[in-house]
This record gives sequence, C-alpha cells and structure tokens, in this order.
Amino acid sequence: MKIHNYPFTTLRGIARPMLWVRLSSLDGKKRSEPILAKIDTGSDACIFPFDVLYDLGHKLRPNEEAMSIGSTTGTGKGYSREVMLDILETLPDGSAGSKVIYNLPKVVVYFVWNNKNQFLLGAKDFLDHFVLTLDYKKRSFSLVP
Amino acid sequence: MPNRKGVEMEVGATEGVKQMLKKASSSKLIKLRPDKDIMTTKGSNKLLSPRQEKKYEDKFVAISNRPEKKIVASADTYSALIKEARKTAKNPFCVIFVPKEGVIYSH
Repeated sequence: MKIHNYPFTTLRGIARPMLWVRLSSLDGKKRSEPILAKIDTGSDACIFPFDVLYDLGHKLRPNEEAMSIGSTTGTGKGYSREVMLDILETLPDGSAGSKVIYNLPKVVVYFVWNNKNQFLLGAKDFLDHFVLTLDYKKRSFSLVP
Repeated sequence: MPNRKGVEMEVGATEGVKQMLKKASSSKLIKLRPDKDIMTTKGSNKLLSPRQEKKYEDKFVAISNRPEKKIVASADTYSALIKEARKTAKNPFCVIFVPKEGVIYSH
C-alpha cells in the first residue's frame, strides 16, 4: 500500500492530513464505524474518544487506573488497549469506502475522556510503520510503509 | 493544488509505466489510491456544506452517502451518535467530528 499525494482535509479553514480509519477488536468481531482521523506528528500515540472503547467490546478492568495522556491539544485521562486499525479507501465523494487499503493488526490506542474531538493517529504503532511526507504547500501528504 | 495525476506521476516517470498502470486498472495500486475527485471543492465532493454546518458545530456527525450524501445523525458524544445513527440510518455511514468554527469539506 502506498498513499501518494493524498489531499489534506480542511477543518476550521485549516487543511490537515486526515485518513478514514476503522478500529476493530483484535479478533475482528467488534468494530467501530469509519472515522475521519488526523495524522498528528505531535502525538506520541493514537488517541481516540473514550467511548469508542465500548464500541469495540472492551470493558474497564476492576481498579484499573486512568493514565494521563498528552496530545497536541492538551492532556486527558484515559486507558490504553490493543486494537486492530484499518485504513479505509476514500470514495470520490470524499466519504469513507468499505475497502481496507492497509491493516495494522495490533496497535495500542489510548482512549481518552473529555477529549471528544480527538481522533489522532500518532507516532507509536502508527506513524512508526510509515515514511510520512507532508507537503503543506501543495496540501497533500504521502504515507509509505 | 495537489497533483491530480499523483498516482501515475509518483509511480513512474516514463510513458511506458504510465501506460502499464492505465491498463492495469484493476490492480491494487490504482484501486487503493484516493480518487482524484476528492481534491476538488466543488459541489457534491464536499463532505458537508458550510451552510449545514452551524448546528453541527462541536458535534460528532454521521454521514451516509447512500442513496444521497447527507447527515443522518449528530450528537455530543461518539457513543450517542452511534446509537442514534444505527437506529435511523438504513445504509452504512461514517463519522466525523465537526470543530466549533469554520468549515469541513474535502479539499
């Protein structure tokens, strides 16, 4: 899989590198809906809203302590879990297709409270699989394994 | 503007390679690439129109593109959105978070 010259998506008037992704439980039985997530070189790991965790069939363990997790937009409390991450195709109308263009079978994702606008693809377990090239002038990016 | 022929340009500079890629329209490489149309900002290529956006600011929204592209649900949290969208949407949908200000559309 190669993603070359993939156009940025504009949010709040600012173009950002974003991809359609889907999280699944490791056995693939439970999965989230397709989500537009931002590639964030400032995040140390992948960060998603806490309630996505339940969509994947995960539960908190008794006495499990929340961790402080930092990202480019601040720090929140959350929990980490191993999940499967699929990068999905983009359809001509800009929405997500069902075809998986790249699969990461085991990714540690941090599910964070009170950080609802966070769908971030960070360094650990995501960016460290790829060579990422950002071209802000052309508003496009490339992602090559 | 992004290069609209990004696929071919990136993979090979020679005419021969470009021809080969054109012929192999069913090959993984081409199919896996995002469609060039996503690069436009015209008409239906927008994920959301700016006019629709105001009431969806700071919310999660579910968008379905069948039979036509539209917002099928919105909510303050991901789980509330999924609950509502699975109830109302008859077709698959995808999830976006709309920030408080500005617009969101494919560029």
